[in-house]
Amino acid sequence: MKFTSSITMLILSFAFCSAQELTDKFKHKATYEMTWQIDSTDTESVQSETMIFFSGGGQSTFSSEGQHIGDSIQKAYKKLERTPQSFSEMRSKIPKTEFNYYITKDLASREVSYREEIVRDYYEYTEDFSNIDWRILPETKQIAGFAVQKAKTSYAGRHYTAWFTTEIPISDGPYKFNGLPGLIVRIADEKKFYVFELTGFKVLKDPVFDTQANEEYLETDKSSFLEIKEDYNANPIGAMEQTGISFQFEPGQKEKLEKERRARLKKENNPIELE
Amino acid sequence: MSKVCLYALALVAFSGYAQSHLTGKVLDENDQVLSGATVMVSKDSTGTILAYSISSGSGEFKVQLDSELDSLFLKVSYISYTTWQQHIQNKDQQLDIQLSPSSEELKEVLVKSKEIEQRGDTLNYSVSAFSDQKDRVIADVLKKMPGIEVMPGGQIKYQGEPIEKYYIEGLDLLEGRYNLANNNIAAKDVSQVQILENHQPIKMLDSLEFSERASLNIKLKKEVTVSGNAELGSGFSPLLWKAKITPMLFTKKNQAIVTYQANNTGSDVSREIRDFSIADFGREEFNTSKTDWLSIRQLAEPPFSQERWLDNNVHLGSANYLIRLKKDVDLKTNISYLNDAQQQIGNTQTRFFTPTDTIDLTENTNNDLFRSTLQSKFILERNTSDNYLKNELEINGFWDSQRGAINTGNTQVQQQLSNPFSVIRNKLRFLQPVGKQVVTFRSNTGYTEANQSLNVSPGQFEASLNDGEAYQELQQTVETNTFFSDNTAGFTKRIQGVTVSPELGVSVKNQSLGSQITIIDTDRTETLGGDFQNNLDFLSTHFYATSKFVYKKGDWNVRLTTPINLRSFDIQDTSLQENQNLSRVTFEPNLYVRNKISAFWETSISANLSNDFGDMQQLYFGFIFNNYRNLQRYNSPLPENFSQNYFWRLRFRNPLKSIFANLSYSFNQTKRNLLYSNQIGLNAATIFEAIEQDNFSNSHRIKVKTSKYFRELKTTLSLGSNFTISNREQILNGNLADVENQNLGFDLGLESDVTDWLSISYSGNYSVLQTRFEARNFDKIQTQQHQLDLFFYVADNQYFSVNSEYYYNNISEDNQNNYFLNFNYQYTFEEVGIDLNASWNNALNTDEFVRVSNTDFSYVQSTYRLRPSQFLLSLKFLF
Repeated sequence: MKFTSSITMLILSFAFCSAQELTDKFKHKATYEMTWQIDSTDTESVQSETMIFFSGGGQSTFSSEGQHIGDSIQKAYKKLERTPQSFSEMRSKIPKTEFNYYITKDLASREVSYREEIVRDYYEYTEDFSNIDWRILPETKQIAGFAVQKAKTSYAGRHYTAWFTTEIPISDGPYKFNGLPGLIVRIADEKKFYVFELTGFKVLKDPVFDTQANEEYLETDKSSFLEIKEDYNANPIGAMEQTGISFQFEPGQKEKLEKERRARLKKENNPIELE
Repeated sequence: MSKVCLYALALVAFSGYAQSHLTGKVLDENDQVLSGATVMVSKDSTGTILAYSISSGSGEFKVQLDSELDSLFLKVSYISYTTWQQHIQNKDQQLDIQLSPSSEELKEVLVKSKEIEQRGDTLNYSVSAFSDQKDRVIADVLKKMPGIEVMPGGQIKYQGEPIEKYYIEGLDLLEGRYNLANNNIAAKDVSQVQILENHQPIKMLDSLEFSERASLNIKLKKEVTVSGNAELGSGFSPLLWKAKITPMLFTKKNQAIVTYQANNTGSDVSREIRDFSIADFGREEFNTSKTDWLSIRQLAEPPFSQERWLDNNVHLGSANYLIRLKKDVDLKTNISYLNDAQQQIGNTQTRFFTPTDTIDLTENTNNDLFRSTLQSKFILERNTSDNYLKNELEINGFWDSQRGAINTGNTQVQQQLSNPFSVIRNKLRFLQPVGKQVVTFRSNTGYTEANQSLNVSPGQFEASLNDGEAYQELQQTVETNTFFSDNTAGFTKRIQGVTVSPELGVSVKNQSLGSQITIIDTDRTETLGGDFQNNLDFLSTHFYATSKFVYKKGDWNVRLTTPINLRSFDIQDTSLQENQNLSRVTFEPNLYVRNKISAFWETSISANLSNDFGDMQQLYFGFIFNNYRNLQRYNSPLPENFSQNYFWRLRFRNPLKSIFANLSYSFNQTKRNLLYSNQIGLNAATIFEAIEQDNFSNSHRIKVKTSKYFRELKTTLSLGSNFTISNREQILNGNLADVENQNLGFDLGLESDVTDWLSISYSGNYSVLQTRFEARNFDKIQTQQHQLDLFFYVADNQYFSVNSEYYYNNISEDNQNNYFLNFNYQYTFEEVGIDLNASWNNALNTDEFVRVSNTDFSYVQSTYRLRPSQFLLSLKFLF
């Protein structure tokens, strides 16, 4: 919540910030606590992060709260004179996040688009969710003050159990999940490697930063995107050098960095999408 | 045959697999299509969903249903529209459904957040998850949070180490006197308690120097909080009263806490302004705390809660104000005044073992202690990412006096002490970037004064002071003052990943001591000369050159400081014609290494060498009559101590599972050049000696502490243990002997809101002390202390509580077990926010506490009179 108030402050202090940076298309905001285990063999590798969901006009966007706040701050600072000081001040305010993606959904078409920046390039791919079926089960209970009902589905190699509520008639949810007759309050895969839990739901009264506006997205498909990302992960320095960013390393330092990175990647063996 | 077959198939189809198709469109009030609306089919209005559809971009829906039901319940919802619902027949049909806008607001929720959340180096503890009906102030909730401890005096520790800063909404209003906020900010006004691990309070140094200390931040629910509390109570017997009012204000730019508190119920409100500031890393600070040269004979205070024994009459006023003048520039004022009159009644029986005999001494003691203290601090602080300035002016005055009467059976000794003390100090720290480095300047300058006197009648030490003749009264006066100034300049620069901070400094401390003994008899007043006076000047100068190297890479943090010191001491007493000079060059490095092993584990080691030298209190040439049984001087060389300290710590914390644990081991070895010994003479008077002989003391200490919050049971459990083994050399009958102490302790704490109607709070500890003198073992001293509080919530606005305490020690002959019991009832008038509280304290009327202690040459049994059984009624307001 610390950063929400700093955003409010930013909005107030940069009153000249143009209105096109803000959007009032979103009417509702939900927050989800995401808990995940990045190394399937190490129960110590469990982490958690707050994810944020905006919905309105049959569309929604989902990202990490850190990513949303970071982009909002960058947009606010864009209007300011760029000095090394303002840059470092801005950098210091940007929260850390493990997830740089934005997922936008269209409820009617059940089209899900996934956007992520990889070294200065913004990529986008779209998936059709209309053939992802939910099996609604009779089981009901209360979660977070909502009457919820159970449903099951499978996606990208994992079997999920979701609890949704018809009290909020938005057929949407965290990550890419959508298509239930009400908002998803909780969803987890059967091994509980990835768990999303609703922690807040509120009606928006003020416009929010449109953090994705004005970017040119390179349209691709999911498999090509995953290849690009894999290439980047395998050799991030090379990928950055390709775009013209140059590095100067001391002898042996580059190899050391690469080695450390490979060791870390080996541990990050449990992505949410397995196929 | 085939007809029958066909018929049978149709039957099956109709009975088991009746299938119907519902199709249609969802439209808004203007006949525009609504896409993304949910269309649900159930058996009835409360049934679970049988089938559903989401309307498409053209508003169309299609539900396919396999059900043999005759009628169905159809529900169409769209956000911000009124849900359309109707019973329909189970058959294929086409429906166009028009929805109308709804003014009804959706239910907003904020789920009770996780108890503990981690964001990088910040841990957020949810206050609502840890609080219950009885909790009023934030301190009540803080002690239930795993990983956080609130010590009996109010100091807050995180993972076994004291916190560095206590912020309220990111502002440091109270510096170290955070008890005042902690005991007054209402728990209901706070949303989160944040622990900022490895927090560097100076923004400029954030990327240059890591910190291993944690700070705490109170996140309030509202941006502007105007709140406070007031309490008024009375009771008997004797007549009891208490009063308290604490208004508070917290906004983005102004923060204020003002309080007035008074009582005679044994509640020690001076705790509220106790200072828990931590010195900056690696600084040698001047001690500005109050020094008393003289004393009356005190009684040993019982080791359990003060409310049971403190006989007081206290008034405390404190005003604390912070204003943010402009961005990141704060001006702070903290002023507190305390007035207290305390009474101690008890007796001490001492058995001295002299070389030839045993001597028994009984002292019935009746003391009156008066305190009148003014403490003030004025701080200007600018803390931005490119500039840091902090100037702190502190002025404290103590106008204390004490009166004591001792009855030894055959004599009455009257003691009258005046022990005022005053201090003024200014501290400045300044950081400014110059080119690529940060230039640092520090200055710490101050002055303290203590002009104290002790009058004792009848006169003591007749043999030494008055040729063996009894006389009426003895007066000891001591006049001391200290001037000090410490000034440092240096810079901080990053060289290839290592932050290097060299600095040069000089510090000067000039102390003077004047003391006189005066004999007052019926016909004369004589001020003694010779060895019974002091006229001492004690000048110490200290030049130092320090370099600090800080290296941080990945999970490793390393810090090395390499101070080289030149210290010189010039001590002289002109009237006694004594003087001492000493110069020493010392190297006192300090190394700290921390490694984050994994997300949950962290380990650190530190090692340092240090030298310290005695000050004026351990070196004066003329006798001072410190208390009525003690005439003492330190006619010896300056004490020089050299110590080595090693420390290892392992920490574990898993916020997801709410488990915190830490384990530490430390070893210290100190080499001293002097040995002090007290020998008991034939007449039970002690002979104090300092012998010049190198001697060593060692201590090993192991500590472990763990705490966990059990979500299902709403219980925080904490377990701890410590083991210390220390040995030192001591003079015994003219020879060096080894004294060893072993101390083993266990503690257990439990805070549980196990059901709606009961909460339990328990803390207990057990400790064993074993002393060995050469080969001889003394009796083991075992103590136990248990405190159990039960709160019964008889209704939403009422509770009844029982507070019990048990204290045990094995060495007293009688009085080994001490039991205490309090009853408490609270009724809350919810509409007006008033708590009515009735309490019956010390219901068992336990009237005295006896404690026994051993020294090398004496056995002491002291008895302390406790507060009697009392009844108290009070009204508390929260506003």
